[in-house]
Amino acid sequence: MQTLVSILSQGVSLGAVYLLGALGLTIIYGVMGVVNLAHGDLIMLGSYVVALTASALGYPVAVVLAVVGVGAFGWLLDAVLIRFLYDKPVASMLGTWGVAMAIRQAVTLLFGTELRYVALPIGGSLAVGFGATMGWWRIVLVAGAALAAGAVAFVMLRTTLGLQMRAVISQPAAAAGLGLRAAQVNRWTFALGCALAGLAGALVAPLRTVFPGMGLPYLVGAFLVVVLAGLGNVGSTVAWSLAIGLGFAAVAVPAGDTVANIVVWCAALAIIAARRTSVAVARV
Amino acid sequence: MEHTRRTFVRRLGAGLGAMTLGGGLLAACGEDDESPASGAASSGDAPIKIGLLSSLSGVLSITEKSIHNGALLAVEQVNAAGGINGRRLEPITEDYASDFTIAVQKANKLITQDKVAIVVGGYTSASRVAVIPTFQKHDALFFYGTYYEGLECDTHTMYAGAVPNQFLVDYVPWIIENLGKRLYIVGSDYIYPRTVSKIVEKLAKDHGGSVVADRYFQLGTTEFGSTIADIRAKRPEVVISNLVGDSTPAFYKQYRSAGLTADDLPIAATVTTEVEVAAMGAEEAAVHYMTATYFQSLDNPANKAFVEAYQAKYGKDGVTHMPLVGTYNAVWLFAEAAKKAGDDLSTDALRKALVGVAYDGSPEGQPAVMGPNHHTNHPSYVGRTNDRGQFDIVATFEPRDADPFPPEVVPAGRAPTCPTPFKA
Repeated sequence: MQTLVSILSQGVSLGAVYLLGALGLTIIYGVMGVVNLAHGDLIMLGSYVVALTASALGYPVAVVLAVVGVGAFGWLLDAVLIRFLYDKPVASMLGTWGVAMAIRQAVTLLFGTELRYVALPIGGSLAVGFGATMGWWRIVLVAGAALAAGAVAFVMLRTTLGLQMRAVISQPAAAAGLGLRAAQVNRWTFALGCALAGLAGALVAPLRTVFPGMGLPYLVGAFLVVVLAGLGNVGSTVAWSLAIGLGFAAVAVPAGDTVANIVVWCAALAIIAARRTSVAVARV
Repeated sequence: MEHTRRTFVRRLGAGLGAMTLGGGLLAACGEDDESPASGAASSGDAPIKIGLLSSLSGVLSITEKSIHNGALLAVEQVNAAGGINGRRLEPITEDYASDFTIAVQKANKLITQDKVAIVVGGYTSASRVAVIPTFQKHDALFFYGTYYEGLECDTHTMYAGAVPNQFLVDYVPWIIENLGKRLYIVGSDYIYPRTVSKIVEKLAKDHGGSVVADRYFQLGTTEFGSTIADIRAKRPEVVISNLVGDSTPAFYKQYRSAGLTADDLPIAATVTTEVEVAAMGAEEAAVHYMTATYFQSLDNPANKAFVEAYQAKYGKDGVTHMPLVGTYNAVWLFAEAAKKAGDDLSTDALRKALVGVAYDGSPEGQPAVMGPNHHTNHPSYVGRTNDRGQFDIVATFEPRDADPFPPEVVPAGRAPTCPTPFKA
C-alpha cells in the first residue's frame, strides 16, 4: 500500500514536471510548425533568473521576472530568427539547436559552470498516508502545472489570440486568406511558449540543481509528451504527462530509474511505431 | 560492378598511402624529440622547470583553477625555502581547456619543447588516462593529485591523491558502529562510485552490516523522488551517497523535502565536498556525514598555515579541498625527492628518489610518504556538515597505505605487482 501511494504521489509530481516542460513546446509546434530544440535551455534560463534574483528580491518576484524575462527573450528571438523558420521542421530543428548551444555557452561564459543554489521557499512534507510523504514543494509544482495548463486552455479557448491560434493550426491558408495577421499570432505564441518555459524553470529550480547543462533532460521529457499527445491540445498534453509520470513512477519506485527509463521509452517507441507517424509528419 | 570495385580498390590504396605517409611524418617528428631527461639534467644554478597542466578554461575550470593555484603556491613556498639545492623551481603553465585531446598535445609540448623535469596536473580520471601514454612514450613523470578509483599503478605516474581503501576501511566500520547496520547505497553510474560501492558492500558485510539496496544514476540525474520513496519503504538505517556533482544538491534537497532528516536517517557520503554543500545551501546538508582525507576545517598546524597562505595569496574566500591539497603535496614531494637526487634529475633517478620520500608539511595533518606503488599514504576523517557549509570533524583515523587493487574489488592473486606499465 505504501508503494502504491508512493507511486501515485511521485507519478503526479513527475507528470507535473513533464507538463510544465511540454506546454510551451506543444503550442509553439502546433501553431508555428517550429520544433523548438532550445526549449530545455529556455527552461534553464528561467532557473537562472530565479537563482540570481531570488535571494535579493524574494522568490515570488523572481518567478514573475523569470516568466516575463524569458517570454520577452522569446519575443525577440522570434523577431530576429524564428520567423524565418516557420513550417520548416528540419530547418527549425537545426536553427533552434544552434540557439540552444548559444544560450548554454553564453550562460557558461557569464556565470560559469558551478552549481547554483535556490533555497526551497516552502520546506517540509505532507504525510499522504500509509507511510508515504510528498514534499510541499512537489505539491506546489503540481498546483503550478495545473494553473499553467488551465491558463493555456483559457487563452486557447476563450481569448481572441487563442481563436486565432486555433485558426492558424487547423487552416493556415484560410486563416491568412481571411486577413489574419499570422506574423503577430506567431510572435505572441512563441513568446507565450517561452514564458511557459521560464515558469517551468522557475518552479523546478528549488528542487533540482541549477547549472548550464540542466536543460536537456527537460527537453527530452517534453518531446516525449508532445510526440505522444499531438500538438496544441492542452487536454491531451495533460493526460499524457500524467500517464508518463505515473508509468515511470510505477517502475521506478520498486525497480529504479534505469529500468523505468528503458520501459517508458520502449513503450513510447511501440506507441509511435503503431501510429506510423514521426515528428516531421505529425503536424496535421 | 567491376568498375565500382576497381574504383573502390584504388581509393583504398590511396587512403592507405596517405596513412603511411602520415605515419612516416609522425615517426619523423618522434625521432626529432630529444629525451626530456637529457634536457632537464643540466646542473649548476639554472632553474628547474616543472610543467603545470590544468584546465584554466572550459567546463572543468572552476575546480582546476583552484588546483593550479595550489600547485603555484607550493612552487612559491619551495622557492622561498631556498629552492632545490640552490636551484629555483620555474613553473610553466599549460591550459588544456577541459579537452583531453589538447591535454595530450600540451603534455607533449611540456616534455619535448620546454623539457620540464616533471608535469603536475590533471583532475578527472579521463584526463589522467589520456595523458599517461605520452609520459610513457617520452619516459617522463606525471604527478596526479586527485583522489580516484584506483585499479591502476603506473610506472610513469606518481599518485598523490587517495584511493578508496584509504578513506573507506575505517569509515564503514565507523558508520556501522555509530549510525546503523542497514545501508542503502545511491551512486552516480560510472567507475568511481561503482568501485566505492563494491568496497563499501564488502566492508559492511565483514563488520556485521548489510546493504538493503543499491541504485545508480546516469550523470546529470536530478530527480530522485522514486528512489526516496523506495528508501522510505525499505527502512535502512543509513544512506550511503556516492553521487557526484549536479546530482548531489538535488538528492539532498529532495531528501529533506520528503521529510527525511539527519536524525532519523543520516546520509554518509564519499563525494559530497564543500563545493556541493555550497550549491545546495548548508541547511540542506546539515548534519549529514562525509569522509575525506582532507577538510578545510582540519585543526592542525600545517593546515592552518596552509589555509592562511592560500587565502593570503588568492583572497579570504578561497576554498581549499582534497584535489587541491593532493596537487600541492605533489609539488612538495617532487621538491623533496629532487633534493635527494642531487644533480641527476633523470626519470630513473627521480623515481628512485621519490619512493620513500616524505613531505612533513601536508595539510592533511600527517606526513605524506610516497610508497613503492607510487601512491602516497593518507589519514582519513569523518566530517559532519555544519550550518556554515563546513565540516565538523567527528572522527580521525591513522594514515593508511594505498591499495590500488583492494581485495574487495580484485580477486586474490589477480592484482598486478605495482607499479606496472599502464594499459588504457
